[in-house]
Amino acid sequence: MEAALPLIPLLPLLGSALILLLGRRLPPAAPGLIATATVAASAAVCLALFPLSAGEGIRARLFVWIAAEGFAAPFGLLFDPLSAPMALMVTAVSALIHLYATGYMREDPSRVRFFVLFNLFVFAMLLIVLADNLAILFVGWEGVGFCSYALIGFWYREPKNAAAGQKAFLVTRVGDVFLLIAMLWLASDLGTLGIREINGAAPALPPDTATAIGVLLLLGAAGKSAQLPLMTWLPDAMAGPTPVSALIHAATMVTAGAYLLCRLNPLLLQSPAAAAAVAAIGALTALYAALSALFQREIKRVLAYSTMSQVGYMLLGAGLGAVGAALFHLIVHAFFKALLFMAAGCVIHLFGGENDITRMGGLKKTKRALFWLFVAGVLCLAGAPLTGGFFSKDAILLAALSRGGWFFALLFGLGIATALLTAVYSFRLLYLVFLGERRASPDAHPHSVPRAMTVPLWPLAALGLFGGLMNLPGGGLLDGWLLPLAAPPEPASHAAEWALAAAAALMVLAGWALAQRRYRGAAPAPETGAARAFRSGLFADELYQRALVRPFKAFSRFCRRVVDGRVIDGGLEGGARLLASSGGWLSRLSNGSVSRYRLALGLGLLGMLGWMMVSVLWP
Amino acid sequence: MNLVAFWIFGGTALLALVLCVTRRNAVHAVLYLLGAFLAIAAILFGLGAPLPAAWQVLVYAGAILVLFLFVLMTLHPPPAMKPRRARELVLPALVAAGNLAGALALVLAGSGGREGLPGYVLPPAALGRALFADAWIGVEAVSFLLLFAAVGAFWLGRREDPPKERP
Amino acid sequence: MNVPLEHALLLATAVFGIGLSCALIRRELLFVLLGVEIMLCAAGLALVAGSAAWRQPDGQVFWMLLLAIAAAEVAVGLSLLLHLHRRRRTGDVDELRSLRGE
Repeated sequence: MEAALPLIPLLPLLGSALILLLGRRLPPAAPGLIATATVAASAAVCLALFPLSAGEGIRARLFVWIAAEGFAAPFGLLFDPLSAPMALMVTAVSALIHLYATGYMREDPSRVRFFVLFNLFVFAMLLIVLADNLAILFVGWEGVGFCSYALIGFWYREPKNAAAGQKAFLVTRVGDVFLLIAMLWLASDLGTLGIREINGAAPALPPDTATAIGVLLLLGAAGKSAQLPLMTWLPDAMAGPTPVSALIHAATMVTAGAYLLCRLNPLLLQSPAAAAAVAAIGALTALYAALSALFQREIKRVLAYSTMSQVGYMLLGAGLGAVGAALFHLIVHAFFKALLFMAAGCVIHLFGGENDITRMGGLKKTKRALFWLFVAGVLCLAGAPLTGGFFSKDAILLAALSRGGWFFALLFGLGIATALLTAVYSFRLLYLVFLGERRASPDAHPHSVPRAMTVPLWPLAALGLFGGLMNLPGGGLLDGWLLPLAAPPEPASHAAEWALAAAAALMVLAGWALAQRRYRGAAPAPETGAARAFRSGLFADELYQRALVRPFKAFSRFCRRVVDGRVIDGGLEGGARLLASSGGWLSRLSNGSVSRYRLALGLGLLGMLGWMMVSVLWP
Repeated sequence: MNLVAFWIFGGTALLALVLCVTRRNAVHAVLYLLGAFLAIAAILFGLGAPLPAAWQVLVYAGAILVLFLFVLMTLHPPPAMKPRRARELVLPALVAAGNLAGALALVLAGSGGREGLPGYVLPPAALGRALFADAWIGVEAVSFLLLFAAVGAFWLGRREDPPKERP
Repeated sequence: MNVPLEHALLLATAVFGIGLSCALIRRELLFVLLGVEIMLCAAGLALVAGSAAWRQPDGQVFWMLLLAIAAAEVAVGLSLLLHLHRRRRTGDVDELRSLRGE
């Protein structure tokens, strides 16, 4: 049984290779089917192996990748209570999204490229999840980065899409550099990159080192998970096809940062300052993104900001040491966010490619099933009581509340405010898209929605709604499962739990009420200045443009004009001129006259003789 | 060799050489050079080298200079001798004077320990043995050099037939 | 009184200087060749003197090789002279200006 562990990542890789090699020779539907089948098989293997991951879990060492004096990085996989649920979630959600993609991409001429990259992405993501050491994790980390880049810019003929892909690549790369520094630091201080070994040896690290590494890990995670201050790429990443947004930029890849912080949580908790920074960044991002989501006009951008916000919750949980709560929220979020994205893809199809929610509305009348699916997603996102999102969000907020102290109380306040905003923007989305009058322009030509695009939504909706059963408050399954890795949450008083649940439910209701007052039926009001500010993400792009890009461009121009043009070119050209002129002068010496040559020969001979004489006379 | 005799022959040679290189007429110059070579042959003999002295007479004076004369006779018109401007002589004269001055300095600063060249005479048989027993590889190399020189001279000196005379 | 080595070298240097001056100054190719011959002769003189000073045959052996080289040099040199006269109708070194290969 254990020997099957490498199959989990290798099956999608095999699918990718198959499609790459044979994709063009097979019938048009084949690439999608191969991709879906391999990922589903991977999910099945994952499920079959799941019991083995209890306790210590199992490890598989395929081969030694890097072997050097005193340092080794084997190509190893680790299937333990943390990675197993994550891997199961990734493969299962990926399989459903692959199925969706077979419908979504069925007429795209570049299907083969799409599914090659899509399967490759799953492989890389599984490497991150199952990596036994940080070197392998980093391979997957870069792999998902590349696939994300290639898939955001999938329709690269639009310059906007290609630019979005480049932006995602470059911004996440900034985070990757910090992760790499942290890895090298760990390797040089602890002599190993093995995840278990690092977590075991973490208490031996000096406190300052632990803080520095923790902050570096936070920056690395912030790049991949689109947290402050590296969050600007995620909204633009919506330029990719919708399955890409669902899989990469909602369910799996953006949660990799949160997963990394959970994976290395014992290390992170060595430094209270770094852990607090993680929690603070998470809470701030959650609030910032929720505010921005409230004013977005494109359906996918709303969901992108909401993803950012929810991942902020996960970081909050990881920073609080509540690994169980963070992983719980991660998994449930993957279910309902994938559901919402794929439903949004159906909506966009039905409105004939229209992305702007102010020009939608009234879809409930024609597409009742889709409406209820979307409602399920919205309820989970808003954290309506008894849905999965409710329990997972509560677990994190409860962890913040039970820590005590003004700092964590502040974070809790941010979290609960975000919960209100989340409810408002979720219901805003629901009202503007499905209810009210149809505001689409009459010439919009709705595309049909194939069955493959609606089938995967049902299991996701069920998983999202009933995901709470995984980890009910007061000794949930997941917390128990994670016992070998993470301390269970401190038992809070039942009164606090109930109070928090009531407050959260109140927030949802308040948000619903606000959204209903503001958006039900009424045509959207013209945009105010503040709304425009929030819609642009508080001018983050503009800020980075001014603070970083323009000075950098100015510096580049300076380098091109002055350093390259004057110093380097000038130096080279000056040297060349000097050589040319001295060459001309020398070539006048060799004028072809035999007598001139004779004289030179004689003088040279005399010089040699003279030197000999001098060296004899004055040795 | 007696120092006085050495300088008598040496002075003769120098005088003859100066006269040689200053002649306008090439035939005269070759004849002065002949005198100088003979004086140098005497000096070689006095320095204990009878065989080189004989070869000096035979090859330098006998063969090489006669070759010069042959060539001079075959040239027509005979080479015109043009005077040189004094200004052009300054640099070569300076380097020659410097050369000589350096040599004089060497003589004056000489070791002093050596009273004079001892009476050393290398008989021709000994020279032959040294030449063909010890330095045979140099002899072989020089013989090849002579062969190449002969081929080169033959090729350079061949008469270029006009194409029309070819059958 | 025997001849000191320094005196022999002095004579050789003087002969060499005359030959070099001739080779450098004279315009006629014939005199250049004569100058070279004189220089070679001076070198031979120094070699024989060295042979006597160290009582070794090597100097004279080298003299013999030098003689052969001088013969070869003069053979090729005079052929070139003849060739030049046939081609260019001149024996003047200063008139040879096409060595630049253009």
